Amino acid sequence: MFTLDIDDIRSLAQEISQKGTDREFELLKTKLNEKYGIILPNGLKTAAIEKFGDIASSPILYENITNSILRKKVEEGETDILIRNPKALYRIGVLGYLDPVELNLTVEGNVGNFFGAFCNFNGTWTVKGHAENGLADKGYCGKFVIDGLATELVGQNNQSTSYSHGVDILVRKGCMERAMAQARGGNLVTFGAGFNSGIYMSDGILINLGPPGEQFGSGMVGGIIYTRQGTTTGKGAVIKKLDDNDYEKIKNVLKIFEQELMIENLNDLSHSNSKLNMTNIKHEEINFKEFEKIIADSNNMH
Amino acid sequence: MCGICGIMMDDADIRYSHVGSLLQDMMESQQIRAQDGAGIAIFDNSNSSNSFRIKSFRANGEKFTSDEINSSTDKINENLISLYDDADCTFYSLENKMMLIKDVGLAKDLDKKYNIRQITGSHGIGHLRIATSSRVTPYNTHPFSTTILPDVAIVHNGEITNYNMLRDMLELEGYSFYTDSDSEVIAVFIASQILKHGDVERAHREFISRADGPFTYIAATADSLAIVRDKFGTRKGIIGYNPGTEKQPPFWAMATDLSALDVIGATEKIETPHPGKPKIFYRN
Repeated sequence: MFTLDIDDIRSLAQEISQKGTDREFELLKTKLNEKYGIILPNGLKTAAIEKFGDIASSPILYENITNSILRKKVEEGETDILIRNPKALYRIGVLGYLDPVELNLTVEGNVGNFFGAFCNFNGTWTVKGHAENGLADKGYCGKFVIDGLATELVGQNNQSTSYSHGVDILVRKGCMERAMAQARGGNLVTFGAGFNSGIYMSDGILINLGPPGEQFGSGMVGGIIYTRQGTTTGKGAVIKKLDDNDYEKIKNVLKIFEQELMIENLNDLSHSNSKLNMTNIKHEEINFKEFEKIIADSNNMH
Repeated sequence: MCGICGIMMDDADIRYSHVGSLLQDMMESQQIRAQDGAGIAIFDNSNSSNSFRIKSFRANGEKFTSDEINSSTDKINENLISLYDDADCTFYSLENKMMLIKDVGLAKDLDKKYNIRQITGSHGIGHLRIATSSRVTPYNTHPFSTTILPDVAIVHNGEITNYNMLRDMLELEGYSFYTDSDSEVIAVFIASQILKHGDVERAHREFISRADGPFTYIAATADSLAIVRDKFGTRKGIIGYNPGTEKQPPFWAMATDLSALDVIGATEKIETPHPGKPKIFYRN
């Protein structure tokens, strides 16, 4: 396993910065090349100084370095990476591969906006902390487990294409607004989903095992939201009861996270046997008889 | 993509000396969101006196300097009128218990220039601005205050899309505006409602019912701190609690990004305010 402590990079940049040289970017570039074999683009210097006044204070520098090191390690064949001290850096784990790469990534701490955007991997990416807006935005393939909260737009634009099935996401402490917004595939299992979740969904499945927000599924044209009774729908969505087919779909999605949620008796789940025992943060007994599904209103589609 | 933050000490009798420092940490942790301007408003009831500060920015070519008039209660209107008549001056703060500081640039530059970390108080708000609809100037930077009531300040992330309508309505009622920022309308509206009804919660509810567009704002008065999101929750806002230690009293914190709560240890009781329902903390 390769461990990347982002504080090491921050220390390196600050050490160089304290020397007060006007060549701090060039020195940092040389040091990073020696240590990690990466080459920073020169344009970063201008961007960092224009936005943040100097190199060492620039979060865009650290996010670029982090992603460059991740890419370098993946290309060297590394399949297990641990990131320490992300300190909510935006846009890390944005690797941009056209074909899925093999990678298990663990992040100790909170990740900032757009963690894992455009992701395309086989393996599991685990965040031992919270995730900010746009988790796995426009993701193609991969499995995410978030131990904390995820703020807005989890799985936004989740992609399902002729060559990808979308991203599977588990959020243990729940999502805030607009989870699975505009999703075109993939699956989200969460213990709470905020207002406007499933807005403009066209495919994919959202299973909300926690408290629901309101206005679910506004403008949805496809996909399914399973949630506890008590929510409201937005325009273009309707609430239906679960049928036998729904239990099969729920079972298939939960199967992805069977181990993480320590689910008992999943194979037995059915319309007539609707209770599941699982351990998320604490033990949960889920009775899908208390659930409803939200789908596109076929009367509203043209 | 502005960044906002707020702090309310859980026990305001404890004169906590680090509200400025906490806000500064929160702003710096959210600096990635916005880099055009930064500002704070910090409240300390022990500052209360019969003297008010009227602050303005004076234009000198492309540069601005901050002016301050110390005014007794009976001279406030007279001083405000003379300020209004001065074409080079733009009002930005009317203070008694509040201290409002704002400028263009980064949060760390604000601290270097004004020693934000040294400012004490019971509660306060902070803002990082990225200019979207008005110029990068000190007077367009947040927080916004008003001449209607002293010690009212707001910071805002989002847009008030029916800003013109609300501004026209308030101007017809006789209230003055000093910038072209849509955020200023929140401060003026809230202050006008408090003046009419004396009820902070009602003021925020009225604003939610009248305002259109995606927004989250944090509004502070001498005795309250409120975080308010639009009816659809289209802009982020998160609340957390730091239970304190032997050396540090407990406090509530609110911000745009979780990172801002994390950096000051306000990671307990994390919640997102219900869309369309103000979440208000009153000074104990």
